[in-house]
Amino acid sequence: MEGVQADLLKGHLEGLVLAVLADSPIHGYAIMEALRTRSGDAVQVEGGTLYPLLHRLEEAGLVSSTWSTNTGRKRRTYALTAKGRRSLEARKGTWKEFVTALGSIMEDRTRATT
Amino acid sequence: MSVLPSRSTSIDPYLRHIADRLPGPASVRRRLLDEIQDHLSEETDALVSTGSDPAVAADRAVASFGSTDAIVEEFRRELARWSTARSALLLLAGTLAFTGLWIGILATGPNAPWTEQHEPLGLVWTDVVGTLAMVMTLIVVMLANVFYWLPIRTRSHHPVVRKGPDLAVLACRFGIRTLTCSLSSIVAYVLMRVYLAPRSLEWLDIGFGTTTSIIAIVALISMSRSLRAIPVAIRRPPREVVGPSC
Repeated sequence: MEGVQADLLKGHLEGLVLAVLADSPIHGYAIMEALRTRSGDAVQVEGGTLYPLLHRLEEAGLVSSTWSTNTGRKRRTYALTAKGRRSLEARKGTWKEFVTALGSIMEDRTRATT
Repeated sequence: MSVLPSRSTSIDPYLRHIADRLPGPASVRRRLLDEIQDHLSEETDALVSTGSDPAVAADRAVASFGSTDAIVEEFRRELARWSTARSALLLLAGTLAFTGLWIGILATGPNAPWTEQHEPLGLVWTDVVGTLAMVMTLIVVMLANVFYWLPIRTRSHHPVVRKGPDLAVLACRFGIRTLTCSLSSIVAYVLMRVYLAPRSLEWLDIGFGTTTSIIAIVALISMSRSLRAIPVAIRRPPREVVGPSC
């Protein structure tokens, strides 16, 4: 991962992948590209991180996947399951609370130091 | 259409290197390799479409995917997590089945309290060892499941709870040993009964015990192999080196 620090992303990458999959089912490379473009090149995930994570999400029942053949190439497409959608909504709520809490701390801190 | 360059590019050696070191079942490894290959082909195509040379594009795609060490390590960690869960549950189910078998053998055999027969010393010995091993296995395997599921269910950050998956692997490994001990007792018991008194009713017992034991031996070997592949992260803190006192 580049741009955003890897340790900052670590706990949130699952949520980000679920958010990308919420629009439509896509394959691994497209997920990576979506993360990159939607974050303005800030979130760049290595393939070596993404595929094990997709495997984990699938084992947890949050995403499902199917094989298809595209121009003679085997491709695995991932889609969000109902459980994944519920999990995404819960993560969004938690994320908002987290950002609000951190924002208020940072704001106070900024005010205190200026 | 794919513009993936010929097989002499860096993609094939990269995939081979990962394939040689990737842990887990063949189907899971095949799946991951197919996905990586598709990913690298897709990225190579994208780079070629922007004017890059196909061989250079393939090199760049490989470089941006990440080091093979990191991929293998990450995937090993993922597999370990699920392998432990499956092994812990399988072991619990297996132990419960064995307990049922053991109780059945004891209840229908010459050792049953209502038969009023004097059992040979060998059978008494296998009874005691088998029962103790079975009780120990049940405790250990239940602990393995608790260790594994506790951090997931409670989301606690307590140091002991956080070490749960590692403790579960250790408990599973120990459980396999004690279950093997129970299994040996059952096999020994069955063999002794064949030798001592093969009556018509006992053949049912012997046949059931032998078949189950063979199935269990195969299951234990495969479970033991999958658990051995899981690294356990628990490390003892290094001993403090104390210099010679003056």
